[in-house]
Amino acid sequence: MSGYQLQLGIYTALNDDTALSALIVGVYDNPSQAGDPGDDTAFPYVTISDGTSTPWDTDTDRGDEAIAQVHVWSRASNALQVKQIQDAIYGVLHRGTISISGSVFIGSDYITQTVQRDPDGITRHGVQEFRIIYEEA
Amino acid sequence: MASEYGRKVVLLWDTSAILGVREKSLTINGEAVNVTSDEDDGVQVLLAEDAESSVSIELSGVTKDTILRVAKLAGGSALRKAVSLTYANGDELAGNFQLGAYSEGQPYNEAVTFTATLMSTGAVTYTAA
Repeated sequence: MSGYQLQLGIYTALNDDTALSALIVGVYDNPSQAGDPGDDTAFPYVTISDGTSTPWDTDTDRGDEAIAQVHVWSRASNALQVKQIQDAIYGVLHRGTISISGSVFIGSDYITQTVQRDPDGITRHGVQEFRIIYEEA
Repeated sequence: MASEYGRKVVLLWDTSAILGVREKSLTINGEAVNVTSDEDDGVQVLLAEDAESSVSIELSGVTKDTILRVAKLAGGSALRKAVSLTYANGDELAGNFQLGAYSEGQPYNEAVTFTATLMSTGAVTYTAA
C-alpha cells in the first residue's frame, strides 16, 4: 500500500477545502524555517507528514490501516485559533472522503485531538489523529 | 510438506471464492464409541471406527460480498454447496457443505465483518497432490 499516495490524498483533501484554507497559510509536509524565529507571518499552518501504518489485508487483497497525524501550528496568544483550525480539519477528514490514487478508500475516522504549548513558549501546537482505511483497487 | 500461509489455502464455495476472508479454520470431527467394560480393568477401549465423522470449516473476515448472507437468508438448497479447500501444494479437501451459523459485526466505526460455519454433509474427500 502507498503511504505516498495516502499523504497526497490527505494533502489534497485539506488543501482543497475552502473553509480550512481561509484559516491557515498553508498545508505542508516540511515547512521552510523562517529566517527570523520571531516572525509570525508564516503561521498558522498545518503539517501532515507523521503517522503509522499497519496491514489491513484479507486472504486475497492487500489493505492498509493508517493512523495519520495532522499538526496545527499557531502563534496566536490563545488556543482558540488552533481549535478553530482543528474543527475545520475534523470537518474534512472525519467521515470524509480521501481520494487515494490506485486504492479504494474505505473510511476515515477521527481518533484523538490535543492542544499544547510548544517548548518555545509562544507556539501553540495541536495534534489530531485520524484512522484511514484503504485497500488496493 | 513445507509451512505455508493460511491465505494460500483457497476456499471455494460453489466454485466461487468468498471475498474478504481473513481467517479459516478446519476441524475434522470424530465421535468415538466407548466400549469399555468391567473386564477392561478401568482402561478405556474404543471401537476402531468413529460413530460419526464430519468436517467443519469456520471462516471470518471483512464483508466484501453477499454470497453467504444471501444464501443464509434464502435457505433451502442455497445453504448446501460444493466446497473445496485447496492447499498451496495442491492437496484438496472437497465435499458438500451446509452453511450453518452466519453472523455479522457492524460497529459504527469499523468495517462490517462476518463469521460463518460450514458443516459437511456426506462424504468429504481428500486428494493429495
